[in-house]
Parts: sequence; C-alpha cells; structure tokens
Amino acid sequence: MSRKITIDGEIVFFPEERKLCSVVNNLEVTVFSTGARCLEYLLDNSERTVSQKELTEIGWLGENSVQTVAQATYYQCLVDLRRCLKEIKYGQNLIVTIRGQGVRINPEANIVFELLTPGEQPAKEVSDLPLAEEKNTLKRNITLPYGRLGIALFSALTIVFFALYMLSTSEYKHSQSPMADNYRQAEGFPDCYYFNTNNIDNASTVSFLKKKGYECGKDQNFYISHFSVAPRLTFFSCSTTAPIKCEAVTYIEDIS
Amino acid sequence: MKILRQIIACIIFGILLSATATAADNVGTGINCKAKHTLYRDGFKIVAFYQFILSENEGVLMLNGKVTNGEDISYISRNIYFTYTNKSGNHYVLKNYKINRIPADTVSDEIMMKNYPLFFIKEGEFISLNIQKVSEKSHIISYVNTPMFYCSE
Repeated sequence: MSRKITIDGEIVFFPEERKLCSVVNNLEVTVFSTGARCLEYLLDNSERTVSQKELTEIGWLGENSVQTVAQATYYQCLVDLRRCLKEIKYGQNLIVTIRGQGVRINPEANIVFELLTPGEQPAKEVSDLPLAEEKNTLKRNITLPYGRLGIALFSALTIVFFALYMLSTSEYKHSQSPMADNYRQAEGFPDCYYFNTNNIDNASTVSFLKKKGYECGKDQNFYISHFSVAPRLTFFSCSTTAPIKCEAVTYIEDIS
Repeated sequence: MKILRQIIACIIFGILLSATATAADNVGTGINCKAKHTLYRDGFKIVAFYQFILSENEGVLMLNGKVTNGEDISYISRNIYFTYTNKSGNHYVLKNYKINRIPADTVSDEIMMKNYPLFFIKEGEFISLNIQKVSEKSHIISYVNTPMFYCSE
C-alpha cells in the first residue's frame, strides 16, 4: 500500500512514485530516487534533526554507504530536493540545515500522512484537488478558529477515519494478527502469511518466500515487511502456538 | 464555542496521556530481551543472537553470531555498551561508548562494515531504533523503519 504525504496543504509527495505535486498550481516534478528516500525519511522523522550519516545510510541504501558517499554528493542531493520544491513554486524553506547536526523538516511545516487506496494515482490525486483559490479559502477556514491544534486534531481524526475505512475495504482480511497489530492476512494468500500494512507488493514477496522454502504447513506463521524505501525483505517466522516464539530473517536483494 | 474548545482540549490531553503511558510502557521500566536474526546479503549468511538490555538510559547489546560466505566462516562475539535517549514515542537513539570484542570474535572489520551499521563496529557511533512493545514479554525492534528483531524476554 503506497501513501501520500501532504505538506502545509500545498504540496503532496508520493514516495513510491517519487513525485512532488503542487495542489496550488498543479505543477509536478519527479525527484531522484536517492532524494525521494531522503525526503521520505526526513518527513517520517520531522520532529527531529537527522544527521548526515543517518541520511546517507537511508538515501544510498547501505549501512556502509557513509564511507562511500562523497560529502559533495550528499549536499547535491539536498540541493536537488530544494530545487524540485522551488520548481513547483513551494515558497517555504522545507528542509532546514542545523549547523553541525544535520538537516530537518521545518518545524513550522504541517505534515499529514495518508495511505492511498488501491488504484489511486498521483495524477488523479492532483486533478481531483480543488482549485488554488478554493484550497486557500478552505485552509483559512480551518486555520483561523482553532490554529495548529485544530489542524492537528482534524488531521488525526481524518487519519483515524481513513484507517477504519481502509480496514473495512482493503485487500486485508479482518483476522487480527496474533503477533502484532500492524500485520494482517490478505485475500488470495495462504493463512500463514501476515503482511505489514505498509507493504508494497505482497504477490512477489510470497512468491520469493515460497521459492526459499518458507511455506505453510510447518506450524509457522510468517510476518512480512517489504517496503518501497529499500531492497530489503524482513520477516518473522513464528511458532503458531503460545507463547509465540519468533526468529527474524532479512534478505537484502531485489526480489521483484 | 467554549465548550467545543474544552472538548478538544480534553481529547488532546487524553491522546497525550495515552502516548506518554505507551512510551513509558516500552522501555521506561527497562528491557532485557533476546532475538535471533539471519541476514542474507551478497553471498553472506549471518546467523546471530542479540540480547538487548536497556535500563535508565544505559544499556548493552550482546551480539553473538556466525558469518558464512561460501567456505569462509568467522564468528562475531562482542558486547556493545551504550547510552540512549527516547526522542519521541517509540523512537530511541543509542550512542555506543565501548565495544568489547571477546577473543572468539574473529570476523574482519571489512565484513562487519559490509553488513552492519557503524554502531556495531566503532565506538562513539549512533543508531536510531524504534522499539514497540507487542506483548507482555516481547518487543519488535525496527531499524530504518523496517521491523528487524522480535525480541522476547
């Protein structure tokens, strides 16, 4: 399930498609994959400063990338991201440098995370958005009476209702994972596989696991995480009987 | 309008209280748990056991594992001592201050660099982890947003 991240109600970032779209003027730009990973990570960690080392690890997909990625490459990545934001006419300084510590998302920015419903596309997203004037009016209406708290509460309620909606309509079955809340069984797959609700592609993941011999019928359940940000598949292989005992396995390779 | 604001304030207070309780529930009283993890990467297979002990902003990670790359076999056996801070919710940043390599630790730094974050190799390094309590005696520990360890007491 891919997601979208709305910034200040003005721009929308689709990490999986690497697209930054303005809802004010409908401009759109595709970000380099390294920049997209960095931006997604910064947004996910918008409450804090992220060090160069940490961001390099994320952007260049390797625990040893810190040694191999030149400082100039790192700074170029940030320059490219800022240029992309400028291209779609976003007027704020979204990525702030904290001297000697790293970079972070501007604390003033309002970040809202949402999951995309199956089939929902970035292009459709943008074209369906209200015109700039309507959007600005809406923003003023929300902002004036309650300020940032109101927006935060509104966003939280939206996310809760959206999550409930997703639970009732998504491909995921309703059976609760016995291991952790954010794993679900999915329609069309054997019951021993539980999928992280942030996964991108359950079909190729299951095909890969079967190829490696991780199949049902061995009193084991598999709790699978496979996201868009890294070619990394991790799953927990857990006993089906209580108390649950699990082992973790990670494959770092492109499984698609 | 005033009532509405009071209701909103109550809801927000409740959310904050719940978040605080959840965070405290995670590591606040300390963790002592073990996890087994197998990593496959570029021909390497690393089977390792991790014991996480965290309490009152200090901790130790005991790592014991076997590295196989074709015919080559080496062993990891080291204790990593660290301090940690809870940045927000389940998010913890660990900074190591001492790595004690036990004589049985025969793995080269080159192999470690290829497969582990610097936190496991060099002193003074950081690692950012998400630690989520999933049952009375178990935590899921995530690294770079990916659930990586199922850690049980």
